[in-house]
Amino acid sequence: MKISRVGGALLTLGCLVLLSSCALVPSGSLGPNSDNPQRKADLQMQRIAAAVKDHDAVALKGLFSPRARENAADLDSGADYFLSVFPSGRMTWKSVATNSAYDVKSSKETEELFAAYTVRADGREYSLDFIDFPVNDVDDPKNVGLYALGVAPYTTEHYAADGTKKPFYVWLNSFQFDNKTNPGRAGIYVPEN
Amino acid sequence: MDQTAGAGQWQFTGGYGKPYDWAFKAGTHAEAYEFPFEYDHKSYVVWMWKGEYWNMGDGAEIEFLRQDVPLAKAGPWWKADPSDPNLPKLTETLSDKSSPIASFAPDRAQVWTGSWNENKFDPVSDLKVRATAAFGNAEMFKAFKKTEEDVVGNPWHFNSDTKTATINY
Repeated sequence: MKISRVGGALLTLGCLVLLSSCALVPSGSLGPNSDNPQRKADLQMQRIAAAVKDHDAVALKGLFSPRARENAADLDSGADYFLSVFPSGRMTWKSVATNSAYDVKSSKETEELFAAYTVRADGREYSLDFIDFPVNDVDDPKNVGLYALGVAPYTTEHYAADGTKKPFYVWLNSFQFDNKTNPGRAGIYVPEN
Repeated sequence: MDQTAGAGQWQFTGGYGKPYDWAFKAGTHAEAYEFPFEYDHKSYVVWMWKGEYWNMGDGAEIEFLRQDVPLAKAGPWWKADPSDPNLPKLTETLSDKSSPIASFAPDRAQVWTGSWNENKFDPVSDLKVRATAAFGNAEMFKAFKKTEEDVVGNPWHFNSDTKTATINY
């Protein structure tokens, strides 16, 4: 329903008041998901680290959303590969950054996290990335949880000597940050060969 | 009519945070994106969104905000500081399915730019934004580029010659 010109003007004024009210809003939470995306990513990272510590493939797969488990090509092999990277089960991790995407409609929200970490385990350093949906009330309620997860030895060089992008970085760039229904291939990154 | 705006005093005073977005978007449909990174022990975020500006029509914003702590200690509330010497020049062009409907490319760097078209009311899925951030600080550009290139799903394209990051969404 379109609002009348007068109503529109009043609503516009209301918007400006709302904009101005920003200065009056204290730090804190008004919406259900207004806490820091990094904190949410760190919580998911803690769960991943716990699964690694226990070498628990069932727990690791259980972090994935029902949609991701449904769509992943071979989650069992992926989980086995992922856990094999950390033979001792011990790891420390540090966030690189967590990007986030939101789709908000009539106060409902889908939130998608794109998280990157540097992980140290058994004397080696790795890059670990994942996509996670902490909440998904707009686009796909069956897609709450991990969607994609990958790990590879850390390097600052993303390209091989022949100029081609290394497989892990091809995987990183295969996801679409603005497609919240099908951001890319679900599951766990497994290098070929 | 294509409308544009820069940040006003309210933002410089109050800063910016997701609570504001939540309130503003409660009656509409919008997509928002956050790209945080760390430079010189401070946290920065490129924050953007597109959608319906209620009865103001289709619109989009891009913002560049700061917290004076490393990312590991950053909270949900970001500071808008127009005197920050590291502010990049922000531009954006908002298009519907067929053509541009609003754009803004201010001459000077500023913390926030917004543009909207009061005569257009398209579904957010039909709106496309092309935005750029041209950095004056080469080291900050490198920090942003390095961070984004390590994050899954990175949508940014980087021109190291012009120190410009471009995104289409």
